[in-house]
Amino acid sequence: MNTEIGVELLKELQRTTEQLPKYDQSLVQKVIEETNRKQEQLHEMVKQKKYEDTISKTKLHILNYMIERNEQILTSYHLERGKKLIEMRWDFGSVIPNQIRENITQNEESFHHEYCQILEDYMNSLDLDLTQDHQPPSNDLYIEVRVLKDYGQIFIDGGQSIVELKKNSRLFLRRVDAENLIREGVLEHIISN
Amino acid sequence: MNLIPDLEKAWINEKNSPEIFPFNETLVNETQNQLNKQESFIFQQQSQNQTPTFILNLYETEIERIKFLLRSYLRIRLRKIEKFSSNIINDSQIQSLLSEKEFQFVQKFHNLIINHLDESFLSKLKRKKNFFQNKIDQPDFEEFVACQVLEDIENVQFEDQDLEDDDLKEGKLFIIKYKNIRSFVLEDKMKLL
Repeated sequence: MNTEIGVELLKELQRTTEQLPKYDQSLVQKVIEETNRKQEQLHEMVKQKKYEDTISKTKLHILNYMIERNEQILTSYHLERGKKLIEMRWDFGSVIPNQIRENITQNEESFHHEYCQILEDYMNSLDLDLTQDHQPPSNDLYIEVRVLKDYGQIFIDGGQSIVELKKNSRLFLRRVDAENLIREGVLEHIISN
Repeated sequence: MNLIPDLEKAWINEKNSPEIFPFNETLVNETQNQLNKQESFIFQQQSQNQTPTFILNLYETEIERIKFLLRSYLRIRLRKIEKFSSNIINDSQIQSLLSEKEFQFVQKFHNLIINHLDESFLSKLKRKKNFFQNKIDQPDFEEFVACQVLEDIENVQFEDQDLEDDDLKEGKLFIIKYKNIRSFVLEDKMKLL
């Protein structure tokens, strides 16, 4: 059918309840094939100089329109997934969660990786970590956290001291030092009332 | 120059406007300088052990708050730059609104997107053409914004808005389409809220 597979591709992305559904290689492939078939048809018609009468002209227009539509669909599909991968960098740091890694292609993985690199370069040039501070700072300079998994040693207090993160231990850390680790799921903020 | 109030204003404007504002280089540099100075001051006090820790904590809390403003300001800009990257690449006027570092970022970012689309499907299409131009992601000037008048403005007519005589006096608040007041915000005669 004409350009309907592509619509299916986008609907799949829209309908999903998952953060990022599995990359639909076969459907993408079908859309690419369909687009190329239309391109061949169009090419063939031009070669046979079938563009004199009105019917042929209309046919050419429609073919061209279908090709453009499919291209637009493929672009949207890949851009939308790319956007989600970018959001992930801001939400959980540069490591891709396992359940998501299963759903993405090699290309997408390197896209994510390169994005992290570009962002890192920018932040290094500013000497500021922009992924910190998603919420306005509270009055507490220090917060109490529980360590959820063994993580090894980290530098705190601007590199002045080192602390070992061992599973199940409780620590009193600076909010800035703890924030990104909380988002990565290494630490849990203990909120006492 | 009123460093912190100015930074606050720049941050709120940036946060609430659909488009990117001119980068305030002096403001950002000066804030970073002051922060560095204050940080080394605290460090020095710490090593001398004369000032009570309580006082030093207050200083640090202050620093964290200012850093929050700065990070948030730069982050909001960066996310807009990502969103409008294909427009920025094709429009030297918008490019002039970015800092040098932001411009480097957007170039790399745009290449990343193009390469990703190319590797994912463009290279498999028979028709070779670079059609990637995202027409959808453009700032929406029709958006409604809340704003406050900073100095009296006279003799203005808005297209689709009836104004009373004393509407544009200092301190007045309103909610209006962004396109109507855009120039005033850029001239610093109004601020967004």
